[in-house]
Amino acid sequence: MPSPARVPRLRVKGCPDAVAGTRLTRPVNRPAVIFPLLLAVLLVSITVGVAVGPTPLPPGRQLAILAHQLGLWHGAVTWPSDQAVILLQVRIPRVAAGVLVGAALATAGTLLQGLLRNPLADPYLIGVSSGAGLGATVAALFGPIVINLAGFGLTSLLAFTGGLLTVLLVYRLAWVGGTVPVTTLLLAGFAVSAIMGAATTLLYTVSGQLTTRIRDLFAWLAGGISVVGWTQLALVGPIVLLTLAVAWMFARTLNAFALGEEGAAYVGVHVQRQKIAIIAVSTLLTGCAVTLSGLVGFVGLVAPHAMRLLIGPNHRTLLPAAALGGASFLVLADLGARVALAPIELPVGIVTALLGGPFFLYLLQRNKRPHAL
Amino acid sequence: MRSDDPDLPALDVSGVAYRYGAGFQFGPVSLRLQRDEMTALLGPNGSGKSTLFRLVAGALAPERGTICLAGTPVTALSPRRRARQLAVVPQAISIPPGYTVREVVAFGRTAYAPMLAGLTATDRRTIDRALTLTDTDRLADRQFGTLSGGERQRGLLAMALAQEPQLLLLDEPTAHLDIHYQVDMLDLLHRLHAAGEITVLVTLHDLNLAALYFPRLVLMAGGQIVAEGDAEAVLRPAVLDPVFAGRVRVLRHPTHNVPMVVPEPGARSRDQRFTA
Repeated sequence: MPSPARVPRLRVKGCPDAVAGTRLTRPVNRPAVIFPLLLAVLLVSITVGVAVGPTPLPPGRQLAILAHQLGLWHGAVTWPSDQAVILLQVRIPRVAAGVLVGAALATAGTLLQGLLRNPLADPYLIGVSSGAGLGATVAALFGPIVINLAGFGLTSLLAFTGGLLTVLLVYRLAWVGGTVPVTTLLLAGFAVSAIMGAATTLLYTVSGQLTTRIRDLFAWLAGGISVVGWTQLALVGPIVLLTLAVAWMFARTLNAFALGEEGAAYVGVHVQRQKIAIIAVSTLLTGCAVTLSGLVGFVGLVAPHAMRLLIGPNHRTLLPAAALGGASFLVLADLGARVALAPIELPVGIVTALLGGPFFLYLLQRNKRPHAL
Repeated sequence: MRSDDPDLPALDVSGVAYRYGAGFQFGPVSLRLQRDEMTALLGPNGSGKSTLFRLVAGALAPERGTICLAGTPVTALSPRRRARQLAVVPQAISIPPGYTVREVVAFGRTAYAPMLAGLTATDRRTIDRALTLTDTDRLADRQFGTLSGGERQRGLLAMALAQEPQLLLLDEPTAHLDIHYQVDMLDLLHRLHAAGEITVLVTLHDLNLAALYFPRLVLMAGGQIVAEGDAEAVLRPAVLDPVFAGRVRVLRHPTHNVPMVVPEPGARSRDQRFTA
């Protein structure tokens, strides 16, 4: 590695800030430092997320109850029995859902940003959110009908279906002569989202049924973890974890997409096939997140950016880093949503936007150079 | 069909035609590159050299005709297999910030990557060799975005070499470079060609660099090949005048004694210069 003294200072005429602050090299041993750090942060977030609430459960107590529950420890039970129930049936499932949603959204965002070479891409970009929103609204129309499929209500089910169908529709509409150009994909996504949004608003306006449920629906649209227990996690958890692993297998393909689609094809990427696969993986992750938490914004946009700054753009390390960072971020944001105005619970989407928005702007200020994000 | 038979041409373009909408008609063009040949593809803007380049690279599919790489039609190759035979150094590519040169060179190993794994020992060895060959090893940990134009071009060449191709295509490798970097680039290409068995096809704007560095020139105009051969055969007034509207003169290089083409200003611009 060249020493800083020998590295020439780069100045670009006309835009003095353009390259001047840029590091020429990137420390290569960073992953070895950053991954343990990210894991530690996640562990602390989880512990604090589980500990804090109307009934505090300090880490020692958490461990004792868990060890007792798992049969690892047979000492005297020194805690009220409702604490065990709160820990096992309320706090842990909720925090676990936060981990899954955060990891899923951050990974989906990383996939789309890498694929589209667009720093503004987020998991909702090509229609998942508008479709899910319409699905949830339609579910609200059915109001009193109670469906329970593995713990999921009608809202989650229709939102998931709506999101997936919308992405399929957008992809189909963007199909031009055997390929799906990024521009058409974004434009079709934009147009379809607008139509879905209009349909959702129309339903609000004309349906008397909805006016009574608008508050719940609004809370869902703003994003909030609404896990009732282990049944939902048992279904979504494995799907998310498996899909995260699949996403990681696309790391080198995503790296090659840095060359643009034509360049990626030159180094051996089957562009159209890989594009469909990556969009499908990203949509599945987003859909899973939506069923657990409604529409939580900003995680999928901010987490990839923050991690790219920390660990660089190589998807081999970026994807797992984004998953860990997104998980920590959402667990902490959910904690904030629970305690900020307790006993009132805020939609977690408000917290992620209030934290993520300024952070995003900070990144923007810090990196005033082209492509910086 | 495909083999390492040295008699099979590295590239065999036969009767290839392509049409952009209803407008520009390309071809039919036939071109054969023997193994180990170094060829420059020349022609003014809109002559079809970029089209031919992209057809060979596989970015466009021919309407008629076939393109064979060492005996196998390009269309029969998966992108992965194609990338192991043919590498492309594209022109002026922008890469998102943060990637190091070594990571960019590693893109060239995509076609060899098993689904799950990271870089294998072979990958690393090949990447190191590509960095050394292109004299970019000391830049390996630099961020690609902070490189100069010439260094970037060498980095992309290293990426292409990491593909271990038999045929190397370069699109205007000297574009936007100052003269000494142009010469550096082509010297490097020559060293590479001398070092290993590789067939090279380059599109060039600069007729003089082509004359100095390439044993075979192919001149295109109006979607057709209008002349091919060595510099003496192609860079003649009789050939160049129709292609460049009579705006060029042919001289000799003072030390290398190959034809050099200089611009011939039109009557009007000359008058203006004299009256200025």
